[in-house]
Amino acid sequence: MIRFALAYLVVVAGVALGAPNDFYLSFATRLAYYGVYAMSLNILVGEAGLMSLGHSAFFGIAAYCVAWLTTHGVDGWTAIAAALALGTVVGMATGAVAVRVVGTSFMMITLAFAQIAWGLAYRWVDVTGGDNGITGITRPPLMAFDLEKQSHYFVFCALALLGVVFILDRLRASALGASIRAVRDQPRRMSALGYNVWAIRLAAFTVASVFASFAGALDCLQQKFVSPATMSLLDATMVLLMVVIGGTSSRFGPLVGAIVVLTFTEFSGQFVSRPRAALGALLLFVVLFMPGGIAPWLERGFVALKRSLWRPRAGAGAAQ
Amino acid sequence: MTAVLEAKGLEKRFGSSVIVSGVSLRVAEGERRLILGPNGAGKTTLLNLLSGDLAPDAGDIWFVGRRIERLSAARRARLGVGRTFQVLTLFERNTVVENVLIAALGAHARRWDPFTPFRKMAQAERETAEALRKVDLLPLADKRVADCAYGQKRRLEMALALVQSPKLLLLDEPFAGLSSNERSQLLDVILSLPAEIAIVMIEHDMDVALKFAGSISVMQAGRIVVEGSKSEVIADPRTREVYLGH
Amino acid sequence: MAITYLLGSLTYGGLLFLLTSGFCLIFGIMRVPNLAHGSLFMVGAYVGVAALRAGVPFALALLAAGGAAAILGAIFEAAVLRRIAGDENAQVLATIGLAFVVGDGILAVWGGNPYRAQAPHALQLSFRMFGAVFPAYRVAVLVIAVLSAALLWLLIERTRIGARLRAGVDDLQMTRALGISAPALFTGVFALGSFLAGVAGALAAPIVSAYPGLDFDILPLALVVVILGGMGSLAGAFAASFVVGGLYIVGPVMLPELAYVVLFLPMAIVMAIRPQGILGRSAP
Repeated sequence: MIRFALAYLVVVAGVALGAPNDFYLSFATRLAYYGVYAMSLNILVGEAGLMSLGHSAFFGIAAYCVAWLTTHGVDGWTAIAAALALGTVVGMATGAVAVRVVGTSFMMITLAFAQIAWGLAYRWVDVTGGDNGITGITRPPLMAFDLEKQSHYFVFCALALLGVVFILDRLRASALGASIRAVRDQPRRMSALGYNVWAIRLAAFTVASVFASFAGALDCLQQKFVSPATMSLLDATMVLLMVVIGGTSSRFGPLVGAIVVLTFTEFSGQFVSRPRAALGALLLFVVLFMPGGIAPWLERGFVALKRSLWRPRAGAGAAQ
Repeated sequence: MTAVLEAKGLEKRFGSSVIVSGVSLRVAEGERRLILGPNGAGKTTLLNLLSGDLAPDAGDIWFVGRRIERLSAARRARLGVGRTFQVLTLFERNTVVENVLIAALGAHARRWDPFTPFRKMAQAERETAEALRKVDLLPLADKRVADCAYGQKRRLEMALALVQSPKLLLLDEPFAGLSSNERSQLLDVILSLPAEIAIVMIEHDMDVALKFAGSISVMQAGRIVVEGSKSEVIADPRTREVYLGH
Repeated sequence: MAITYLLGSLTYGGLLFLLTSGFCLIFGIMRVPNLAHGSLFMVGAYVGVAALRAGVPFALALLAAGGAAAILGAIFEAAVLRRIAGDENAQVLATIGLAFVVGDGILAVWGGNPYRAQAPHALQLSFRMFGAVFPAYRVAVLVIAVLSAALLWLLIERTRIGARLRAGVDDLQMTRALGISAPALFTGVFALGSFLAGVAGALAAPIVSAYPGLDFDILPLALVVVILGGMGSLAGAFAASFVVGGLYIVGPVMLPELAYVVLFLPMAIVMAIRPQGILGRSAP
């Protein structure tokens, strides 16, 4: 992990210093917090085995929270903290209901909650600005850095992503993480062992919503704009696509998925003329032929590449 | 003789069919109770009522003096009820020791820990090793369950039920599908379980079942029709009736 | 005023029923929640408008729309769903993939502007009754929806094909054992469900017009109906369609800010209280 972190920091520095203009820096920034977003969804999809169609609600609610607070005189950091707190509360409340069921039922109930959130954003015009959204958001100061500079904000988000990767890695390796996966695999057995299956799923749901909220807060400050679109069903399926295309059981799967999906949609003119059709086709391909997602396949390729480039050492180096 | 488990008037219906009707049961500490009966007699349903996987439509259940019929399976497990399942409920992608470790942690508050690596949970190491020793799977600790033989998996299922040192063990056809070698291995394990554990077993394989049993309850059409010590029940003509029709 | 809302609700309810009946058939037999159902509706809308604009008679336009959706559905089922049968998650994801492909496909063919057609000439009149105006087209939509409900009921309860469908719902393995081909059954069901969605789309086009995004606009409404009415139940879908139609028309008027809450909160409540009863598996 340390090697990964060092390599990552080198890449981040390279991008921050070498990116030709703000457009690419913005894109890289979005990659960073969408990585957080996708990883948060994977706690549900990959670890807990719960496919949510409503994860975008947490992303959007947090974005609106930060937007509304910062345009009403509250400082950016407090706004982010408030958004995280709100995400925790809403996550626990909706999760308490949602994780009583699994499968299709869970999908439908999460979709219902997300539609409610979207509908409120769309219709409660006095507070949310409706379709026009909220504008005029500014980024808070951070010590010596000027987050209004895209390169600084990019580094901030990239470091945030690294932090999230570490935290979620710890969670995955912990007893709670093992319980979440165990509940996914054998819920009856876990009950028979004294585990509270509902509570464990709720824990997963809440953690997922907190990290999605974090991503939403970062998005609000990046785009300096919020609108109901981020909570639409379409956007909810997009983030699900990131997780599935990238790979649910691989540590970097969601990140890979986020990169693929965002690259397709951002550079749609350049090399893919119909990004959504391409993503749909890619999803179909993954579902049919690569159910583990792209990331494991990339990892294997990467390992093979490493082996062919480095001289073999005594004791035979094992892959990570 | 203290009763570890006492059930009175248990009833369970699915739609209009009555699966278990008026069943009363008393299991003493350390007793080895075998539940026999033809298919459809309601044995597994009875076991599920006792374990908490099903809630009874009527009747009471006491476990070590506590009323438990309204408690969930998880609560009953924490009170000391362990069980195995007819269809294996193992974590195939994990190793043998990880399976038992997660089972052992079910009784520890540290199972909620989101930071400490799972494999380093020292609290549960002792029970885990002990359970693996009891079922003779210690040498296979680091093997992936998916790569294990069926007989080994059945023993692992037993280890999961044992690791929290239950007071009552409910076994649902633990010998199903085993070869004769594997059967004698598992029987050895069961016969050498601590004497203070009360065990209730459903089993069709008469050889092993009778070697295990101290007492027997025979079920038919949702009721217990014969009950008593092993010799009493074997001698009872009604037992033959249940199996042969008359 | 109230009567206009009533008619609006009934019309919308009728459209929703046609749409969701297809969804219920597919879910009832194949246990797949078809998230591409809105997309098939959209295909029907666009094909319907295209046909009407080309002067095709109304009934034929409806058939063309339904047919286009049915062909798309049948191909998808045979080429994709069949290969991942049994894996529920994969199947849902596949339907999402289809929805994305269809959505962009429509953009490619028809562009991004709303695509409108007038109601067929014969139905462009309105009646005046009870002091309110009733566009004949909307009444026609309602009549078609009710007729379709009756036809579907007849099909399922009174014909051999229907008997096979019911058998498939009750006991798929037994159905197979009796020699009724499951693959053919599934493709047929998916095609029929898609057909209904396509026809619904074509009927809706003169009212809401065909536009990009129609797929994901209508899908949540269909899902509300389906949840409230019971995932595989046609009778439930029939009743719930009109309830939801009413909420959709009247909601924004009575409670503008809470319009969507009013629609989706009942769905969430039903799911919270009776998840097993309507949808099958709850958390063990």
